[in-house]
Amino acid sequence: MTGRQIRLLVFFLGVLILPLTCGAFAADSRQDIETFTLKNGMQVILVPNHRMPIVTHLLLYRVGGADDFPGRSGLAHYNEHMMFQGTKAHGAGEFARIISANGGVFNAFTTRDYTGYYVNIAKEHLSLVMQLEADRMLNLDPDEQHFLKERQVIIEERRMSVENQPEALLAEEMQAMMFRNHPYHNPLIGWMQEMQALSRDDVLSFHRQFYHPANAVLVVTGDITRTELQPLAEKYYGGLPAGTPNVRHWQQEPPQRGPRHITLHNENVKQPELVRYYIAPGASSEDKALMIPEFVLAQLMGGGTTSSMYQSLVVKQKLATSVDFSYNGISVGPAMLEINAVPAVGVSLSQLEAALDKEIAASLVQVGTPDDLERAKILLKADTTYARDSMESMARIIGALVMSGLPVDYFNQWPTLVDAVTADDVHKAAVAVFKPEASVTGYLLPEEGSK
Amino acid sequence: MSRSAGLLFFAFLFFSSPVFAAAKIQEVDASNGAKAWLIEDHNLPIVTVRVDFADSGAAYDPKDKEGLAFFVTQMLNEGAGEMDSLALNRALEKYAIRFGVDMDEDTISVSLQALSEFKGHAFDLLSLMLNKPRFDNDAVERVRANIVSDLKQLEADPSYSASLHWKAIAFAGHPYSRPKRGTPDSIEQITRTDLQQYDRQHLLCSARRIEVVGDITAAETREMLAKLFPSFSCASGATPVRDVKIRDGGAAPIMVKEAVPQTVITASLPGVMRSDPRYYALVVLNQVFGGGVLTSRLGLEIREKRGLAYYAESDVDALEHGGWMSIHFATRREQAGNAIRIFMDEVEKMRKKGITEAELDAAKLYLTGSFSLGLDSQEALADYMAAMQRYRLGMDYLDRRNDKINAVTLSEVNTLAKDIFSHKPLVVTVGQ
Repeated sequence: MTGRQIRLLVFFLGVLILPLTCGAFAADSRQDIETFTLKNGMQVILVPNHRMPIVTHLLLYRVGGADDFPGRSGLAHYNEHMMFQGTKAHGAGEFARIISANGGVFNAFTTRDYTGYYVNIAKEHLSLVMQLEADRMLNLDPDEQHFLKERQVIIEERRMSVENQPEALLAEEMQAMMFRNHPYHNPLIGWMQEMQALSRDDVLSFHRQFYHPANAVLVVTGDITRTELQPLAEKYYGGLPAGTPNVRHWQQEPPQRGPRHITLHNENVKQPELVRYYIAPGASSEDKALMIPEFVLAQLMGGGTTSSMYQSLVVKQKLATSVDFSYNGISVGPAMLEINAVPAVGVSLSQLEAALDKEIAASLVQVGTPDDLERAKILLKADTTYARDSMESMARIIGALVMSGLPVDYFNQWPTLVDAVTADDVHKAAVAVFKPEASVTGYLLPEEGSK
Repeated sequence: MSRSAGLLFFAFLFFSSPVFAAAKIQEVDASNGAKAWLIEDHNLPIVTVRVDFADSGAAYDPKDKEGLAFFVTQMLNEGAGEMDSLALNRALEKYAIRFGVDMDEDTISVSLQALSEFKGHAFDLLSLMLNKPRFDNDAVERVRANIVSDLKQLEADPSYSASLHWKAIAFAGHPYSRPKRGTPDSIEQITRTDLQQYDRQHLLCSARRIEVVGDITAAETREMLAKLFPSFSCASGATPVRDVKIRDGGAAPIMVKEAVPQTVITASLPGVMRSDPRYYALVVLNQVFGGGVLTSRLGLEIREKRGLAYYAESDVDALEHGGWMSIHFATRREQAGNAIRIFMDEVEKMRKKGITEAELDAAKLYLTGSFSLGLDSQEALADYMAAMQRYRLGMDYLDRRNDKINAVTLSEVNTLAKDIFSHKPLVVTVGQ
């Protein structure tokens, strides 16, 4: 079956082996990635791809859900929505109307660590996009009724993505338990009661504090060269007052002392599920050297039907119908390894959990054979080549790396780093992540008393 | 692999093409009769292949064995030739091959992406998977259990409920009305023999439409085709599916009770078949009605003005035997009635007055300007070519499509609007 593959940071890619010049195949080429700073200090990154005369313009701000003001969860995401609701120069909906009229496709996204606004458009409209983005970066000014209306929209978004989905309700509970002190414990979309009280002043204060060139990175991919891009970026962004870079004062997550457990009953659930979270080494943790080995570990143990966990729990023991791992290593705050397992008919969640724990204990001794390790590395390395095919993907990936404090050229370093991973590194990664005291386990079940 | 001057010549042609550097399609014929549409792109060392099987898909599921076609698709990488599931998947991983399946009511499709250096292995493995699937008993039972548990998980999703209920009514009496993935009960009825028979009739013996994009030449494509499809000696004999018109709604929405705080609404109106000359007018009409999330009538009235929903959109949908417009929005339980009323008002407005010249122009600008954005990867190109082959749009369609949109007149759109929006929308709600 082609079911769920491991949800490694999808962005994640390996080495770049191909040349940009047609016809010649050099053995060891890297993806061309250039970076420069504007006169006001704003960073610009360029990833050329001349297949079609289109570009992706992705403007990222170093602010995300984890920066929500205390008691104001959902604010970063609300701010993202309000960015489409009017500036002094362009009223509500104008950004959308103008971009569409020029054949552009736009969207935005908020993560815990950063917020991104992208436009895919024909190359000749790049300056129009920059003009509009520079305008809403500093001149956000929606009318009061748009705030109220858009607050309703984000509340409906919460209903759609969380309150209507039992799995999401469980994930929200588990995340709050996983991070006792770190702002990651709040849902990105916000807690409902706090969302209902978000105000215009909240958004404008938040926007004023975080939205300026010193806190922004522009990534442009597609049919553009530095000679074309740099003067345009200087013209539209370079002259804006820089502002101060965001220095984070996030509450630290103290050492965790005991495993947590939650059971969620929901009347819409027909299929029980087992979920386990572990705090994991990541891009910003002290043990960041274990990040790449964690990617390899996640692939080996839970990356598909050949993985050790699947072979044991699903094929041999028939205790589960599926099991998969997800690892979000590219993170500014603490990273997490997530395991999802669906029990076979007649198997209870506690039975499945016991079997899972046994496999985890076994992994502390050994994870896979040398062949397994080689295959996992081959897969991870190939991801980068595949990713280069989509200009929009490339913008998102480079953006994610840079927003997480990794160097611009990390994309090109990836294959070498993956290649260097040894069985001993994978063992260290397993020991570092599988600490029961730093875990949360969740049971998703139908309503109590129902079948 | 050596590079020839001929390759450089193609690559040069490729870059000098004015509108779509990536869109020079060649038809490649193999000696065994297999053909493929090929777009060469030597900028990256990857190749993408897509194969669609005609007259396959959920519409061909036997009665009481709904989900059979889907089950077959899930078995294709679960053992082939001499390799069981584990050996096959290890081989795919060893060469970093990406294999995927997709399915709708009319067509099963298979896609494969490979790094250039491993494409030989990739084509060998694809050939095995398509020509010698094993359907080993233990794999069948394991996949069965997974399909059933996935279905049970989907049952917790009100959007999935809404789409199943809608289908059952919209296409009542026609194979399209049935659940594509089956139900836990129907999946339990399917035997290994059923799987093998379906595979033989609808995949092995089926006509194929093939697309290839990437770092491969016409000669290499010809070789691949000969390997993939060694013979075409059987006829599928699948019972043809008849065309169907979607049903209108009744006096009130169909309400399905589920304990969720947000009511999910799915609605439809009749559309046109893909081959209908009015199709492009429908695409323009749809863009105005519910195509742009922040710029369409539905988006503006339901989301932008009133904050009633996070999404409120319409789409032009087509299968080989039917065409329709679908509408989707969701809002909190207490506002569902209000949101539906607003939707019905927009339907009535559209029926009475159609769209304005300004709306027509804005829609055309967006549709033509954004067209190439959807072709930004090998996979996107392969998928687009698959639709072009499926609906016989012609090899030069990529160059003609914008002209077709630009040629749509206001009177065409409004005549169509009057026709379509005079029907009563079929509305299904899932919620409390």
